[in-house]
Amino acid sequence: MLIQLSHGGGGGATAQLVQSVFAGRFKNPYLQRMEDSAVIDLNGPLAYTTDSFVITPLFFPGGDIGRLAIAGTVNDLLMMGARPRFLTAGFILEEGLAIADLERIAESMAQAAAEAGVELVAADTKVVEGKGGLYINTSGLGPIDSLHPVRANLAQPGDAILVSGPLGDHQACIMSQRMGIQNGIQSDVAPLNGPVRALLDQGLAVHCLRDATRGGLTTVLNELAATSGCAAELEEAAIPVRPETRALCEVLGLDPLTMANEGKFVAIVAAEAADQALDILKQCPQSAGACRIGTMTAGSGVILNTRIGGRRRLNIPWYEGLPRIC
Amino acid sequence: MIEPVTMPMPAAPRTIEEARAILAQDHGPRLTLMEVCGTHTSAIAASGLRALLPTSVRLVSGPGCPVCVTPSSYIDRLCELALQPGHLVLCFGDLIRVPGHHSSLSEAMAGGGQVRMIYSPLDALKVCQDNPNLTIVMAAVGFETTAPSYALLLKRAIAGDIRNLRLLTALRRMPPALDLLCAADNAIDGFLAPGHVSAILGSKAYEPFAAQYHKPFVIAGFQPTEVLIGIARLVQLCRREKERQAEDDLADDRDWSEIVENLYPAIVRPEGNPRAQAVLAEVFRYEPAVWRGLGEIDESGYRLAGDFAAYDAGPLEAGIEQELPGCKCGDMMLGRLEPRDCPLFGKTCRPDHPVGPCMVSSEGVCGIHYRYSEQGY
Amino acid sequence: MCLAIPARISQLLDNHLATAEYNGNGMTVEMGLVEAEVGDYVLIHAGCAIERIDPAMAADIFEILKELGA
Repeated sequence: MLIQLSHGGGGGATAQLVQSVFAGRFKNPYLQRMEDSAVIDLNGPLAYTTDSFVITPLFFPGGDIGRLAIAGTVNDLLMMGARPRFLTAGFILEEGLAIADLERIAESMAQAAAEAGVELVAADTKVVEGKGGLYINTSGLGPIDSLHPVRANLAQPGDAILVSGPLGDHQACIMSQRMGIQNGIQSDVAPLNGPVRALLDQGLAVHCLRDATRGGLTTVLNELAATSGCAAELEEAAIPVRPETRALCEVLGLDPLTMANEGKFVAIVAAEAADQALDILKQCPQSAGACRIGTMTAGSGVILNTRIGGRRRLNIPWYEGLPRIC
Repeated sequence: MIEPVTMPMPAAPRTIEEARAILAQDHGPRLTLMEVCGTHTSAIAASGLRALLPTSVRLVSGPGCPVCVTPSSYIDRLCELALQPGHLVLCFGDLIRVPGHHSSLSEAMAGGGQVRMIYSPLDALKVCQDNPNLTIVMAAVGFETTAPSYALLLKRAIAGDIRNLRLLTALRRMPPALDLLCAADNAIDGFLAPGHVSAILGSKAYEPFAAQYHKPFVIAGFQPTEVLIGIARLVQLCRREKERQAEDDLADDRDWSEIVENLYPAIVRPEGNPRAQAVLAEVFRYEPAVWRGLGEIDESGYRLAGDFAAYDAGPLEAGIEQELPGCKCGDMMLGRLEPRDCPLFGKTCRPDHPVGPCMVSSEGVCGIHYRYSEQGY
Repeated sequence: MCLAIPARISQLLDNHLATAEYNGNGMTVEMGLVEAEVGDYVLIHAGCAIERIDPAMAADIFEILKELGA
């Protein structure tokens, strides 16, 4: 059975869709009240974020658009030193989308929400003309309770730059699906509560956290360096990339350092906290591959010391990398 | 032949450390080396190799980016075709954002043009079969590494009785451009030859240039180690050549093949790939072609020949390439200038608003330099 | 102009095609420009095998690739 325009009319057909697909999977007092808005009671500074998800294909090795929609917003809250609590979700369905696929996606969202310890407190669906596509917007709310503030302007020369695991897998997985290349690369999409809370709950001097999504490691470090007014110096040989992912990048002419991840983050920590931070990260399943890749220094921009002993800047590309042959 | 009393042929470096030592110890009048392959330009920039070059070695880029040397009128024609009902344009990712006089294919798409990115010329066959009511126009751009694949595409199309395929060609040959570069007044002492073009052409293809112009050629692969070793070896050969020429050692019976060195023997054979050469000869003929920045070069373009001409999407009108005031791309491609020497670089000429061909593609020499420069992207 | 990778032919298919494998990545490639058997290594550019890799010299290439963590 497929989504039709009538499913978006707001009448009985809409109610039945919402009931069968969503209500059973997201049981909580907020949604069950069926009010126009959820009423939340929280004190103190709150982190509040939104993101939209338009990825194709909808299902890919390692996850789907639903898991991505939950993890993406949960991770944005975690990166502020916040404890993710409440999410909303808006769905734009194109007619022609299989309801069975929508149910799979909703199930995946429920699972991801449970992993992340968040409740879906408000939702909406709309139906538009189209060819079976799906777009999801989520927003997230959570109190900031880290011992020290975690902000993009707090990096200092001398700080250690850590990364939570091998880079490039999510975008490599998607590109492989689109270009028909067979491999075992899986998207790393995951909520990062485990490793992030482990770092913050220890009270370690974590200055910055950022997940390396669109634009990859390169974009994250350039932004943090610019906002903090210092430079980042990296060792190419220390940056982890799985061999299969590196090989995929060579096939398509892509750069793993600018490719999106959905379950990896950069942590900039005080020098004296680096060893302990790494130990903590390595004990969490999602960050078992964590390592140190460089150091913040005086100056500006991001510099890469290359494997052959060379040196060059690592700048944000103007455009997203496309597969190339030259 | 009397062996000269000067430097015997030094052993080629085999490791990163040996290559770095050769470069670190180099001294003497400045050498200018040229690489002629966009993929080498990229590899050099990405590996930070320039930081390892001594002040006695200057490394410049030649016209090695096939997209950059393609006239703007070619992109204009593709955009026109994309917007024509009943047509679908296929191209590589490299081409999609390159601007013509009016727009890029990416912009044409946004305006309703039918464009699809593919990864291999052979992908076009399936697109033709799946869309029998459309005319599929393949944007055929590239050098000798890619040209044989287009030739093969056409042979497969004929064998499969596929009639809705057309090629709009802007394929270029390296040797005529090399001839121009060697003969030009540009102080190039030696060339880093492109490993994969050489796989098709063969290492012997460079011997006539070595013999006529007395310049060394080193064929290298594309991994950072291979490029570093290749450049170090080229420095060695150029220094030795300068010494021999200082002693007037230009005897007619000198074996000039000794200054053509193949450091990529696993892939490059002396005779190249005869099958690929045969299929090129079967499908294409040579014609004069315009290289943006360099002008028209005889016999430097591939045009569909014989029965295959029926698949030609039509000759391009000799579009007038607009004169770009202050643009130095011509000098850049001849190796007379480097990007930072151009007054427009980084100011009026940037990746988001390119003036000349060296900046239009992210794989052009200025596009690459800008990407790795202090300014940005 | 020259992005290409060395891959191992794992299976010959109909219509001059083959499956090639590079460090865990499998793709379908055109074989019309080379003569190669299953187990041979070929250089692949834009979905086409453009040259067979000499096995005696192939060790060097893979040494370099291994060194670089590929």
